[in-house]
Amino acid sequence: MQEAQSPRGAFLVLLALRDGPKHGYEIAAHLKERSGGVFGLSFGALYPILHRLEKDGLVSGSWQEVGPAKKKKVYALTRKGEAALGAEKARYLAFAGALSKLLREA
Amino acid sequence: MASATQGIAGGAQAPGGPFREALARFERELDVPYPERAELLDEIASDLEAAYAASRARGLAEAEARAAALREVAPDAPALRALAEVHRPAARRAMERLPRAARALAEPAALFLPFALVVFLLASEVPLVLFLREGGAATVLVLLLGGLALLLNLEKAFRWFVLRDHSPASLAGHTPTPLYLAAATALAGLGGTALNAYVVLARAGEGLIPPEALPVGLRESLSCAVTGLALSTLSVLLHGAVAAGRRALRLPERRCPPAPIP
Repeated sequence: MQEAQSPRGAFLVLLALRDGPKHGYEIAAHLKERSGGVFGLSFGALYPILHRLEKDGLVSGSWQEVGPAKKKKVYALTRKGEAALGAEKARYLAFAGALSKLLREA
Repeated sequence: MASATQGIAGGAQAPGGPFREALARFERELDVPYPERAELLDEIASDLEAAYAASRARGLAEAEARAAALREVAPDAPALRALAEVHRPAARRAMERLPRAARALAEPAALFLPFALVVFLLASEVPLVLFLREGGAATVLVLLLGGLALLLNLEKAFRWFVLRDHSPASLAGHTPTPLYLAAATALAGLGGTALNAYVVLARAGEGLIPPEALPVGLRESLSCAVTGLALSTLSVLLHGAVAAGRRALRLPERRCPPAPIP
């Protein structure tokens, strides 16, 4: 649940949406699969993150009809979200580079 | 768009069946205003369905797949609190920033000031006081009943649409009382007019009122009915507007979501 409050949770969601719109279950499954289970976001953490990002204009949610009386909410990155993802990605790359250097020296 | 609320009530959303009880529980526990709460329930319902379908595809039996979907998707208590924080309405945030004493004054002031302003404008633009006095003592009863009906509707509108307080306690205030009060206002107005007309006619019969003044006396007796019907109509219209607002926000028609089936 700490992911819901941490910037890392938001970053992971933005990353998951980078290659196209997804609904909540797809986002959680995508992160779990691509990170080999290291960065699994529980739904408990996912919903508050998604709704916060939507309120902040970093992602946009829209309802898609998927059959009679069935629909799902699909989230997509907005331009503001793409910019935020780019900035956060650069920050994480710098952090990872620095950490990797330190670990090599250890 | 089918709502989860409707889904819980009538099974419109697909997982309304297997996840009906869980969705009803989330609806009770979520401290999120409508329509966001209804949309969130729709979202949880569709994710539950996706998780259920994935578990079934992995070969799990129906009951196991349902339990797995609930374990995987169902938001826990901290998640519900985090969602409540994300969706806390601006008016409630502003109120919560005020000191307790100021908050206790701000809510009634925000409610009564527009009401007082309308009364002031009417009183200053038209000879309202003279008109009301023509209705006699019954007009006091009409004003009390009509004013109470209007205030009850305004209080609901303020709580549900401005503060966006959609807690079970707040939603329990959805009663037809303002309609009964509106009906009582109209009846009191008509009764007051009938009584006034009876008195005028009785006095005319006794020669206490000259025949040429009779139409004036009868016209003045109508004031009570006019006031009662006007207030009653206004209350009914306001009640209808509040009901339409409830539907637009997808607020449940029940007084509160149902308790889980043991």
